[in-house]
Amino acid sequence: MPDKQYTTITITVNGDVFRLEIEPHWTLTRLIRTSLGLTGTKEHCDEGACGMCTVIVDGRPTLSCMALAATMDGRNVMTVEGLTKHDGKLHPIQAAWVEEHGAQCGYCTPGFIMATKALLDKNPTPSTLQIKEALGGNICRCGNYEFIINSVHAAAKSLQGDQA
Amino acid sequence: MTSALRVVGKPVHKQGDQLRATGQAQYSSDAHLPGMLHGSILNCPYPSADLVSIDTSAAAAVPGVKLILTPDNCSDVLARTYQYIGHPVACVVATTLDIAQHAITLIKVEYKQKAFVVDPDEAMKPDSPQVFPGFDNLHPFDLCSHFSERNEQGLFAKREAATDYDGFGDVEKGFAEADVIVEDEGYRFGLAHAPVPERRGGLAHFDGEKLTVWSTTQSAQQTRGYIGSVAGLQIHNVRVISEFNSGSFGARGDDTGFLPDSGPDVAFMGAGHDKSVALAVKASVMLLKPVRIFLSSNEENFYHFWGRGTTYCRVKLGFKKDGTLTTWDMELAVNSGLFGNRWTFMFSNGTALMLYSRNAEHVRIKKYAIFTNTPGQVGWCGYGNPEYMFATEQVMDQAAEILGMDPVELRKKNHMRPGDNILNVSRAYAHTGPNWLGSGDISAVLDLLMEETDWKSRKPASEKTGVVRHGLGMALTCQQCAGEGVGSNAIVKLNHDGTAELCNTYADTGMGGRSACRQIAAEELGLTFDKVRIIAGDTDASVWGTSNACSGGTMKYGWAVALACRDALKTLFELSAPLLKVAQPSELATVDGEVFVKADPTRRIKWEQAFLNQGNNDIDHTQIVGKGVWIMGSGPQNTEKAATFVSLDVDTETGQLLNVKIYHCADVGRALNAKDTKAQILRIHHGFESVLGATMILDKATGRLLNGSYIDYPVATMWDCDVHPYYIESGNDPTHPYGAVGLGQALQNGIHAATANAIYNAIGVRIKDTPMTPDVILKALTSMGEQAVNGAGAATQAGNESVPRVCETA
Amino acid sequence: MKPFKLINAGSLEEAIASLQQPDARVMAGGTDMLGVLKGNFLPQYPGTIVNIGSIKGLDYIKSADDGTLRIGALTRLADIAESDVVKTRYSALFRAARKTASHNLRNMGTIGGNICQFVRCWYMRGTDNFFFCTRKGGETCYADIGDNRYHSIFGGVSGCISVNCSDVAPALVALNAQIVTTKRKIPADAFWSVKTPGSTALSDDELVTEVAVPPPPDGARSAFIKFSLRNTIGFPIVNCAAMIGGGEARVCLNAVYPKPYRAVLAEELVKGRAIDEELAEQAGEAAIREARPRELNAYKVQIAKVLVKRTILACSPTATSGEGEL
Repeated sequence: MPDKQYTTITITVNGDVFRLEIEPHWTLTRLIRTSLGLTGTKEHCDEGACGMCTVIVDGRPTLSCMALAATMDGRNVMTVEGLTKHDGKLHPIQAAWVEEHGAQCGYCTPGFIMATKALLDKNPTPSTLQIKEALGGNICRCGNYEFIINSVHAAAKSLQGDQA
Repeated sequence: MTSALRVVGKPVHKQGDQLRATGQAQYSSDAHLPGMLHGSILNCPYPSADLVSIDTSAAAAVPGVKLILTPDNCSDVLARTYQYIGHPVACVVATTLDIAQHAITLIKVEYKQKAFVVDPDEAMKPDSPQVFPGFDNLHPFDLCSHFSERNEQGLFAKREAATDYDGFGDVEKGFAEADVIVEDEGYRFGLAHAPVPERRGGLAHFDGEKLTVWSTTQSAQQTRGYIGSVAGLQIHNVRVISEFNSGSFGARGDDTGFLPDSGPDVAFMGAGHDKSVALAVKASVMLLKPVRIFLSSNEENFYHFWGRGTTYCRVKLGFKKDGTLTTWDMELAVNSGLFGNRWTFMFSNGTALMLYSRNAEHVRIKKYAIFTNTPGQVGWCGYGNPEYMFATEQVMDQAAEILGMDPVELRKKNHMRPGDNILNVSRAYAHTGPNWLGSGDISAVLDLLMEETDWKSRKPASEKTGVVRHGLGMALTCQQCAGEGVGSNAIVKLNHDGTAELCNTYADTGMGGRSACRQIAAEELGLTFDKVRIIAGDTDASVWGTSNACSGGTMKYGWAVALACRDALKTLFELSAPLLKVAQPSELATVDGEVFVKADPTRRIKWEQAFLNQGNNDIDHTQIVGKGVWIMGSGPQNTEKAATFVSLDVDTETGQLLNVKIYHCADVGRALNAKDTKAQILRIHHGFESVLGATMILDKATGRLLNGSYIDYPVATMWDCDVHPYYIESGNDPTHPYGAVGLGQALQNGIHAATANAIYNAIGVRIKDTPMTPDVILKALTSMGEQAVNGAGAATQAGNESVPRVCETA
Repeated sequence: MKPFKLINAGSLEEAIASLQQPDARVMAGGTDMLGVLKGNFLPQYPGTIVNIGSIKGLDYIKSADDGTLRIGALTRLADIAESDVVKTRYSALFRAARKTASHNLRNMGTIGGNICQFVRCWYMRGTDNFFFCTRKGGETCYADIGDNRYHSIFGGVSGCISVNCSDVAPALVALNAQIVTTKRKIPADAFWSVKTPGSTALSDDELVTEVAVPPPPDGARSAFIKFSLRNTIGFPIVNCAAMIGGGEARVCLNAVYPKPYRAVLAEELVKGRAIDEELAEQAGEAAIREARPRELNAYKVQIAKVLVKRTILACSPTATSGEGEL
């Protein structure tokens, strides 16, 4: 194994700033799950084709398995743990998932929820076709797609209601 | 009873969903312990090889490496003969995963490569290399079942072991007496991977006295025994934790990793030959440290098993002129890979005997295993049935055309009804007396889907023109949810504050089974859903239950939960009777944590008062504990019954399937939770992926899997099809306290045939291969064109080498 | 992933200087390069990764005074797929960007990285360099003797029958784009070196900085159609882009050859003529006239033919936009 090259980055995760020593080949998934212990972000295909590791980086949905942690210096990351409000209440997207049965086994759920958050931040009232376009890279192996689409619509409606 | 239900059948949030949505759900792969070591497994890169030598000195010299397991020091888990690519050879345990993975590359292994075969067609040839030396690769299944001694109701009282075929009657006689015989063959089902998300593996921690294992198993109680045998521990010192599980789909049985590799009759359903948990256990016991070993890539996830196997299938059916199906003769060969010839066959073929058992007098099902240097099949929903029902439900369609009947009408004439024979050929299940269908109304299922799909306006392919042609097809399906001899224990603990805890081993793989158990307990105890908690993910705190495989959790766990609650209430009422001044406990009832007199509900006490009537002091409320034990016996059997209709368009220029809509309806007896029930049906999405294109592609020259990634292996996405889930509740199945039957197997059995029947309805070509990729459909269309040129009846039966042979004997 | 050294370049100059190391490789969005690293299929694992995603100022979509559309090399595909100017005037590029991979990947992958992506072949990409094939200096093309259902239908390049699977590339060829580098402007047509599949005309010390797309001639329309098993995530089995009208006719297929494949014979047929069903059909036939399918991929020839026909028809002035608008 070549000599280890450590690099230090400063990264904001769910609003908190962390200064972390990492190695160049670590993915952002590894940083989130192992360095920070935030295991809500799941790791499955490790090739950018399942979406289970989706987080939001500077507003964009990002597959954390396909991003090197060492390229994340100064970036702002949000994981599923960052959605829950400080009063302990579920975020409307999370509540919609519970209400509309968006999860079966739940392994894809955090990734879907973060992709949904990125979508609704840009487009608060997406059509079903727009939902399919935005979430098309997220795989649910249980096949719960119809209920996931229902959950996104319900979340959009709920968030709209919050604003009203 | 029905009208009074408060929780069962009512909408509840699925157990654990809030934790899933917040990322707090702890799956086994999320478990970490301080001081944990990491393991990485060296897999054999060849499909068939012997170990000549292994040199671990360079790997052992890497700082941080703590242990290297090889066949020399771990012969009960690691073999010296390798029979498929990915077969584990060695394992490095180190302080970090990086170090373990690096050290693996430094292990020098000398293999003696041997001749191999991965293609089932090649394997059947006489000069093929033998996967198991001394056994022909085409291996007749010899654990068959003959049924006999029909009673007055026509039910078989006796099941005898046989070596030649499964069935009953005399098919030669049946065909001699048949008016119409329809026969077809050549159906093949491409290898498909079981759709599991969480990678397999485990975290094992042996502290010197007790071994704790976080495992991705759906069979915690059974796994505990296997782990104990590998660890050299009795099972009271083994604790298995499996709190949240990703989808199981047959690949969470967790058994074979603990069994030594050997001959053709070994492997059980489940994990295939993945040995990650067994190796973690071994290492932890040797090092007295926590050791975590999970498969390290998605490709590795593909190595150790598949979910559906390649099949050769021939079907010959005999009918009376009016469509009565009297004789069923079938021959099939399944690519059993390295898993040998046992379990797939045992489970798969009860269904063929059941679905049309009503009128059939003569049935013969002959089965062969094809051994190849590949892993083997796990019990993915349907477990062997989708492969051959792909053939049988297409031949039924052909028969309908020949008989001049509507395909649905032909099914209606012959499908099973309550009280008809259920014929489970599996020797995993006992047969102590007649077994019959407990409940169900298949005709009602068919009527609903005919209505939803406007079946009556369906036109034959000969009337269709244009580049894009629409088709509508259907298939009938069923599957028995486990069988005689399975069941569970349950314990319920009542607390004085009007809450309860239920303990059993229902694995949580997302189907909502733990919710269902909570609903049953809440209903029985007169509590609301939130007042009942279920403890099921930790063998230290739960009690025995059969693996909730075969979508049989409903049947295996339902009655035990209800009986445990009733047992606890018996105690509660005994303690309450003197306080409420009634002579008999049976005069009492309970709701919302209060016990009352049925005849005078104003006379009531809180549970707490009853709890304090046990001679205890007033700060020790104690608990009231109830137990339930339930084992399935002979008699009515819990069975999933359903139909799948498919509407689609075929692009005849590109061979692409467009606008696929799947309508699936099951008779669930009773839906405990409407959304859980419909969600279960949505799982047909991952059945459709093996229609669309998902198949494991092996390089014939090297045996390597070429598409072990989600980029090249097209797993189901949101875009591929729309699923319309329906269910009916025809009512009380006696095998469940609230009349429910299992759901999740049959919905995978009909989708492939239904799609092929829809394609036939669109373009008049029979598709006999899965997946039904553009090349397959274009090829079929091309040969249709050729046949049309040659004057053959293109619209009826073309596109493949074999066409149904029709013989009108009368 | 095995370890490597990482350099987060602050400027193009720094990136180019860093790339002088013999085992260095460049990475932009990372979606292709991380696949390369995780698969570990190169004969030599890269010792250094030069991240250019950290360079500022290369992420833009703007219209120059002469009407040329200028897209910075580090512009994410998602931004191209949501750009009004691209949507209005460069339909082929708009659709190609929109059909690439998935929304998540489009938010990571850049246009520069997309056009420099490595060719696809499941033998060449076999993990841990299992297949030492012709593309890597070996003597055997395993796809030629093995499973080639997704491989080239127009023969090989230097004995390799892999395919370029970029969706954007054929659109850029059809739109007559220029690839701007740190040294020069390269016509899209010439960007994919023919000698070594999977590489480009770029020299070792040269980086893509911009994609420049000239305004389509008056009266020209462009279109793009992708054929794949799924409508998301997957690479194309075949795709086709075309720009027709205003005296021009450019038709380009991809995933059919180790580099984007100009359907010159089809272009000749339709150039300057009114498009109708019959002409488009003939153009489709012409496009595949030189096809040499392998054992398992003759179906791709049929699909390529149909795609050429349909893409040309989609360029006709009377065509509706087709495929559901989002």
